[in-house]
Amino acid sequence: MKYILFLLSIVLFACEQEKKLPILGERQAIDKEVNGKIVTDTVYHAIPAFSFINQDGQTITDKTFEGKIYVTDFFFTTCPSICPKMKQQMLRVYEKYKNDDRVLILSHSISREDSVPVLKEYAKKIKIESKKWHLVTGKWSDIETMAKQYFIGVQEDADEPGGYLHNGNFVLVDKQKRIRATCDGTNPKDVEKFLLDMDILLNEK
Amino acid sequence: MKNKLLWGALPVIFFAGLLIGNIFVFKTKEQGQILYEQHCASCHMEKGEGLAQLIPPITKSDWLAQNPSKLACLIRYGQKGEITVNGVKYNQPMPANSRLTEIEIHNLVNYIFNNFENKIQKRSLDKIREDLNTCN
Repeated sequence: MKYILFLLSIVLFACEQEKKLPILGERQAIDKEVNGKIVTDTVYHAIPAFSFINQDGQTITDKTFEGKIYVTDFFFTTCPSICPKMKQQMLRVYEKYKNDDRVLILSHSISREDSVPVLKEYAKKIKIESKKWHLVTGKWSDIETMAKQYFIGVQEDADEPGGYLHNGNFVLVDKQKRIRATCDGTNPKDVEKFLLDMDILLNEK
Repeated sequence: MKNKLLWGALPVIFFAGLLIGNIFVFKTKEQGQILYEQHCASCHMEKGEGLAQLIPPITKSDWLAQNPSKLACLIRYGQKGEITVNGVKYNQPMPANSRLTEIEIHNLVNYIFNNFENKIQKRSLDKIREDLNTCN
């Protein structure tokens, strides 16, 4: 009997343990002084400051996402290859967290043709609200720099349909600007798991 | 002797059964479907539903039913400007598919006409050739 109780307690304990997402990207160990003692601390890859313009012509910066988690991707409005699928899947994220103030979405356009009015029109057609989902544009080199920060490759390529090459990943960023999950934004099953990852992140203490 | 014949026939029956079973289980895709998945599905989606008010649906499309002769040109040269499908206006350019041959377009058109809840009369290859000669 005692034995069974012991086993049961192990099982219950295991269940109670919180699920946590990994922290992605390179990490560095740095030594710093705390109260006169040298302590080794781990520094994780974090998204640096940025500034872009959204579909309403508003300036969107890293401050916009303070205290929130956000999902980000790179696309362009006239992209004939993977973007419609990505947007169909991102709409699932949007629908699920539409009324959840803890979550935002940030889509970067990688096309020089995507001006604010073009993005506005696109937002209207996929019926999204800008307070939840920012479609942003900016200097191409800035967009490219940020893509690298999110580990997403973007490239201008005249041979590609639409003129740009990019991957369709969704990236989940936590309140400390660290990358906690990614998925293939064109794959519904992958996005299913990503949505669960988002819940895990929201429940982390 | 009779018995021997029976044992000889058994493997033949067995493999014939496997072959027939295979045909039912692994139905080969027709070319139209393969082409749809390669060239169309990323925008019009696997089930043909399109995307919001951005990309029109292929499924149960009144535009296709009313303009069966225009699809071949639309596939080959793309589409620009406003188009109304099932009462919704769309205005997103569709890229051209200039590398598709007449026969490929023929198979693709008929795949679309006979799937996605469309019931549009099949078009012959001659008709598709005629359609392609009248593209603007």
